[in-house]
Amino acid sequence: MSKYIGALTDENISSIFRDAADFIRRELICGEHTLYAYAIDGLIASAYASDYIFKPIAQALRGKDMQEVYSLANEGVIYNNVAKPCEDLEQVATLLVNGFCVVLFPGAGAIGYEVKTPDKRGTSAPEVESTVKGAKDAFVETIRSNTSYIRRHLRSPELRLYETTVGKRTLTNVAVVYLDGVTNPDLVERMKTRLDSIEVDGLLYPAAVEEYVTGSRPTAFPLLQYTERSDRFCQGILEGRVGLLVDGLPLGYLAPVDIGYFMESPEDNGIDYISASCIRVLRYCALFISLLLPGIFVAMAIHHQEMIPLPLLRSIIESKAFVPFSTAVEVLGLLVAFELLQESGIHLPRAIGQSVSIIGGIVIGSAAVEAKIISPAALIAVSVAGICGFVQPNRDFAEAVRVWRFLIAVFGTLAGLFGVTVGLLLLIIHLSGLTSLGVSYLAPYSKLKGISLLRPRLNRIKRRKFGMHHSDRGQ
Amino acid sequence: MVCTIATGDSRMKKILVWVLAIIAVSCADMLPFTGTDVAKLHPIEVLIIERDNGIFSVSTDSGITGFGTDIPGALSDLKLTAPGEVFLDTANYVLLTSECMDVIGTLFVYIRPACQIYLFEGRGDWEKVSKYLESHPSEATLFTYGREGTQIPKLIVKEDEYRLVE
Repeated sequence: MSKYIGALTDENISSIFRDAADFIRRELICGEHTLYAYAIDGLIASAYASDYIFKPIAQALRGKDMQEVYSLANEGVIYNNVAKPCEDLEQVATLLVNGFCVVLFPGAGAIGYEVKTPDKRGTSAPEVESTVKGAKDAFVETIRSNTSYIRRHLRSPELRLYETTVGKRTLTNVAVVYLDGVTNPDLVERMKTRLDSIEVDGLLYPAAVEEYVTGSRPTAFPLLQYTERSDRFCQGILEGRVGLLVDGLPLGYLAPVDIGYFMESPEDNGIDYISASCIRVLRYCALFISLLLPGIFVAMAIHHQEMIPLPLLRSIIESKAFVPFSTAVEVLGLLVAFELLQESGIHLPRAIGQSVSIIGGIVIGSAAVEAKIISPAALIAVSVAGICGFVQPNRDFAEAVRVWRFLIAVFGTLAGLFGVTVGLLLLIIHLSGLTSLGVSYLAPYSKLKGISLLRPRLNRIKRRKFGMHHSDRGQ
Repeated sequence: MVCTIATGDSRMKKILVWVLAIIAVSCADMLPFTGTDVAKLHPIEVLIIERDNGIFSVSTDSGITGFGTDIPGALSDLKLTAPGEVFLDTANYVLLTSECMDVIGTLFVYIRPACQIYLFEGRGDWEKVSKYLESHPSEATLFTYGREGTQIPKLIVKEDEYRLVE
């Protein structure tokens, strides 16, 4: 049901944007008739409006009655690229906030002409997913620019864009991107259904997109993969996944997603398969070290000292001489301190953030060890785990690992290696229960043929990835 | 505070109940798993067992000694004199005099079966003996001696010099 009730009149349109200082209303004389033009200053390009709307109205648009004027305007006398007839006030309002200039033909109707301002952030290189050899056209905040980047990489006529608006107040434009004939239609329908079921005031933040689209499940693990790279986005579409673009966010989302995708880096496809495979194996090792090292260290230091080789045990004991805190307090405290350091680096301006990281990491860490407040062994264990966490290409996944790292360390403190094992089992149970658009999170590992531990040679890839139930499995 | 939180989301309430239960159990020392912080440990690598006039003396490479009429008593005394919690699980070598051969069987309870055993004569710096023994490992361990009767090598100790004799 339309939010705005009433006929298409000047008074009704003006009342929607009352008290809006950027709302433009102009009366235009068209022969014997008076037309009204509306726009939102800042969203339109004034020069385009003047040249492609007002000029033809003043010079060429003539008709016996308003209906004829309306018909001529709709059929090309006003030679604007996009012309959308408006059926109701809500459509008028929607077009106006999307950079259209709406011309009211009293008694006949209204037509919206797209004259969006070209002012937008220019194409830049990706900030987080940077590569040496890959493309440098990262997504920007304007959805139409993003769709153009996608079209440039994926020139298939079968590329489909389903556009809708989400958010009752923000009216955020959202586009579902898929490849007809490759993407499973069920996935597309699920995504569309999810979007249509979102009833919120606004969709402004990435977290809002991710939680509302995936159903806000109680998990730290991301159920949507985001990317700022248009080439990576297109690669995901080619694999049969569904893409999602949100106006205002310089990101593209891909679903469904599983752990295998989070362990792949854009750089993997920029280097030879041997190097990429070695790095990928290293990445998996780093994942386990990041997740388990603090827990195993504290478990062995408290409950299973006999497993530590004697020279190392002696070294740890000597390093803990005069340290007032127990190993459990040290490790858990250092994990919290590590998180505080990272968090402070994010919120400070870049110049200060780097200094804080250096001061916090090096100076305070060294001072704490020299002052015998913490032991070097615990500091090394937590630092190595933290550095291994930075190896993960996806930040959301790495943050989820950080949460579980802390939990497993607590389990290790309480129950030794048994506790660590219980924590790991709980994690696996939790992951096995997650699904992303109906695809299991652990799909690549459910059957051995899906594992992507090594990056295969490209000429050996004959099928799309396992688990997506594609319409067209072959490449 | 608990009452205020209890009126909130039921899932949060369940999580809070579990967390409080674990904290309470931990504070009451009722956890089934007990551990010892590594800082409190006094690890031992070499155990030296001697008998003189019926009194056993158990010494370690860290310089502490315990006395007793039997091995359990001597080990108890050793734990009392140690500046920390004696950790016998790290013991790799046991040196005994020939008079103490009959107590080898009782050592299984306290020391790992893979621990290597030697007979010794003389006096020396026990702190340095582990390095020598590391480069001259014995095939005789508690396990192999008890099961197969492997011959125990003899270590001649003279101040800082060590010599193994088969």
